[in-house]
Amino acid sequence: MTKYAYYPGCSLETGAKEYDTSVRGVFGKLDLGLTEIPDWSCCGSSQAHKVDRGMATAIAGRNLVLASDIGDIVAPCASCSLTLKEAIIELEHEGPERAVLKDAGYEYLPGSVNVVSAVEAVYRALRDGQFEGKIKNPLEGLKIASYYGCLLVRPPEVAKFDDPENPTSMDKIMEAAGATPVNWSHKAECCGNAYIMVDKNMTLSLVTKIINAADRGGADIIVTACPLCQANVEARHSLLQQKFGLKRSIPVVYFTQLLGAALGVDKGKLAMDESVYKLIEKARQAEKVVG
Amino acid sequence: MARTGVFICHCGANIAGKVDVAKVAEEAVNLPGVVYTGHQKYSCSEAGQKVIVDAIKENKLDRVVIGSCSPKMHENTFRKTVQQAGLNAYMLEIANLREQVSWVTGDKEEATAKAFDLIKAAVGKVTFAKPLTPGQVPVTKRALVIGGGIAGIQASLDIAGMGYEVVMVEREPSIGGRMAQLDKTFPTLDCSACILSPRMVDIAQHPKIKLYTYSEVETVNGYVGNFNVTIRKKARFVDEKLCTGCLECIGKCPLKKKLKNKFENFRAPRGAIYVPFAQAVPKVPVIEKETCQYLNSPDPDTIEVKEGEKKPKRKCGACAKACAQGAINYDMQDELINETFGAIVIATGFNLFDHSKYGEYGGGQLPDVITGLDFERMVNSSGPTEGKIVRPSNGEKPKRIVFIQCVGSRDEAKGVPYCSRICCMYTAKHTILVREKVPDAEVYVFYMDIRAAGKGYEEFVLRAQREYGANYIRGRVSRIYEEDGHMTIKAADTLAGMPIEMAADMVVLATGSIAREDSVEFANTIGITTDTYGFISETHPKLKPVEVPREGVFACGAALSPRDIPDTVATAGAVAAKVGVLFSNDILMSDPMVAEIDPMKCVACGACVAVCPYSAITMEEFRGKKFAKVNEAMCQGCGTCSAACRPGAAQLKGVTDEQILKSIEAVLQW
Repeated sequence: MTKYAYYPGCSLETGAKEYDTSVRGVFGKLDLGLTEIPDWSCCGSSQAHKVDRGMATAIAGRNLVLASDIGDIVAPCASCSLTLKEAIIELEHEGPERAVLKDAGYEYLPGSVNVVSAVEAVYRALRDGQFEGKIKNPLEGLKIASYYGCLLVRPPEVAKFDDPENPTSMDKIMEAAGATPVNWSHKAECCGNAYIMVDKNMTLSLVTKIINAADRGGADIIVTACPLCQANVEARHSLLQQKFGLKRSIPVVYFTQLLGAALGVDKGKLAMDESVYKLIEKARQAEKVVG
Repeated sequence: MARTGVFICHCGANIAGKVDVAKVAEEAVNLPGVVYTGHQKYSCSEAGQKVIVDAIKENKLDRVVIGSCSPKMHENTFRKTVQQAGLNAYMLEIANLREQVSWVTGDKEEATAKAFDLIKAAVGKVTFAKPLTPGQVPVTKRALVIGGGIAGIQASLDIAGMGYEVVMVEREPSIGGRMAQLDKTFPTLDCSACILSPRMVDIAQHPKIKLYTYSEVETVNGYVGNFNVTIRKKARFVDEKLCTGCLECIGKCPLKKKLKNKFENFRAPRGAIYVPFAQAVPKVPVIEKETCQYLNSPDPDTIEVKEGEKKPKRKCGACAKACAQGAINYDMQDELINETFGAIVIATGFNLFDHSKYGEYGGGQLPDVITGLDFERMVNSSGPTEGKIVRPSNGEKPKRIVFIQCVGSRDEAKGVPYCSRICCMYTAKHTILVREKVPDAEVYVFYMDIRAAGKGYEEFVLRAQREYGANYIRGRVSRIYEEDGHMTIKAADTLAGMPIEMAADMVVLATGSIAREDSVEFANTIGITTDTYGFISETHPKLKPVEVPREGVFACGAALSPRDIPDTVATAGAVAAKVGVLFSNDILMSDPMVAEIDPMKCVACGACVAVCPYSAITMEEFRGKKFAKVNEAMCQGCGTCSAACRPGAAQLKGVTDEQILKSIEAVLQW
């Protein structure tokens, strides 16, 4: 059994609780061990590196040191996994960051720990045949636009996973869950979340383009692996329809929620809106009629 | 007792800047056998060489050690120097104090100590040096040219023009290469076929040139002046002597619309029997073994049937029925041809980057995103659209065409950091061709920098912009996707400092040059090396740009690195000149540093025969005793046999076990 050190990160404790519970549910069903890193702290993502790069590395590095006895870290949030991966690169060589950590009692040993996103961990499991016989409720006929956003696979020299311009790992996971991944144009476009406070109109027009692209691709549902993307792309659909030219509202869920449904994870853990289950059932029925 | 002289070269400050040359020279006096030491600013200069010659004569030196640059650089120079002083050229040992010491050692003291160690090793080794005499080998004055593009064509015509025989080998059914696929050429807008076709015909008609198309080089043995080459002439199934080139057969092939023609960049159909293009040389079709229905149906002679039952007939055979000459021969087999050559010219050309690696540009899935080569064929009047510029998705005239530069060039993320050198120019040419053929179409070019270094090149780009109204935008395109029947282009305009979005009906990617997909394997066949990207490595980028490290082998054109037609033709001419220099010799001196097997020590185990990469060792028998013997003409002096020989019978002259052990002893114990 693969054992991972679990790094939920701040988002999964607050706005993205359903990502946390669905990750736990999915990993359980796939026999992937998850041990939460004791006393983990914020990875510093999106703020720390703008203030002080060294500090940002040290903040993330503390979590790396704490996890090193447990196993490879799974950080479901795209921003967290990227920040932690970046810290590994920064800490590869002896330097002031390592000294700061050591002084604080956290000695970092290069090579002692690895970081993967939840998509990476699940994709590894799929590749190693751990899905076999576990898809209880295949998502037949359900058309899915896998939305990777900008941080999950980029920059490639940090993320070191999947094709940075045309990623396919999440599509393959959804296919294994019985769904039909759609070919669409905006799978790795930025949703503009970081600019929602600065230039709301720009962000909302980016979001609209993403959902319209999924619509062109014929998707029933958009899946994502990033709490920022999920929150940003799912919200304000009526406003987008009125003012930004959104053609059709499409639900946005975490890939672990849909995969969880296919694996038979408790509905409570998945915390998915009843309307999504209806979509799944509708697609299944339509598939039967066609079949 | 040896009388060794040691000369330490400063190489200006190259060595003396890091190595205390005076100290090394001073200490070397005490080494066994050394009777003279000195140091000088430039040993390779005329004055420097004179000092060496005089010192040898005055001190009656019988062997020499020179501490200088790499022997690759000046070994030959110094061999001649010692020869001038009356010594055998091989009583010389070079210690590489530049590349192996001063250039790579940071600390002065460490560098000096290491330099002294290398001098000790060289002094030790030279103690057991023996005079060697080069053998003589005759030169076969025939050249093999591999590749029938413009590089190979030019090299062949120039070599043949000097009166030497040439054999050209081309793996495709026709010569012509990449240049034959192009429509116009920059910066003159000459029609490519118009300037190339006459030369293709010259190749076919030249009395000194023998042409093997649909053929590949399989093995290369031997050495400069005497290469033994095996050429596989693939079965064409059409007799070249009988075929008149009427092409009646082609129209009869039931697959004539089913297969894709590589010459048209797979954008036009062909049959199993085909000529790649109208001006093909030779204008003799080939039948593709893998797809021909006749060749792929079971041979009735090999099928057993029950009595009374009819044997099934072969499928098809339509081309044979159509041929009035009886030139179709389904029984034709591949032919292996062995020939001897004095020189080999590599002119194997290049490939274009596969844009399916650009997920951001649709990964090769968007029909209206095409490559520069697709565009060349499209705009050519004998191409798939007969010269009409149309959107591949619906055949309509595009109203706006976007060109993107540097696709598979200058892109580290895609593994191609180098500039392909031709794309800026061919894109400028494309914009002109668009504006000439579809004057109301808008043309945009996204570029990083315009690299137009060539005669008339910058002017050509300016003409595209000013006279033809091509709109150049500096910035990279980040994404292309299909939306409502057009392509949406997302890009940055780095001069305006703005992100931009633009709709386009068609996108042309300026895909860069890469090495042939099998270039590494090919280089192994020839016994040469490639660079990181698979291009053929030259001996010296500046001073030996068309030589490769295997003597007697030359390379030209884009097989070496991306280059345009003028540079390709120039290097092809250079290769011809080098071959001419080689062929001006009737006899070549062979390197005497080859293996030698002592028959008294040889136990005839055969280990050396098995390991020799050049098949230069055979087993002989003399008065009942078996022993291994080296063919000195074939031996390349690699030393593999010497390493494999347990009794120590096999020795590489000039690098004997005795010499190596003495150098080790010198470093460790002196």
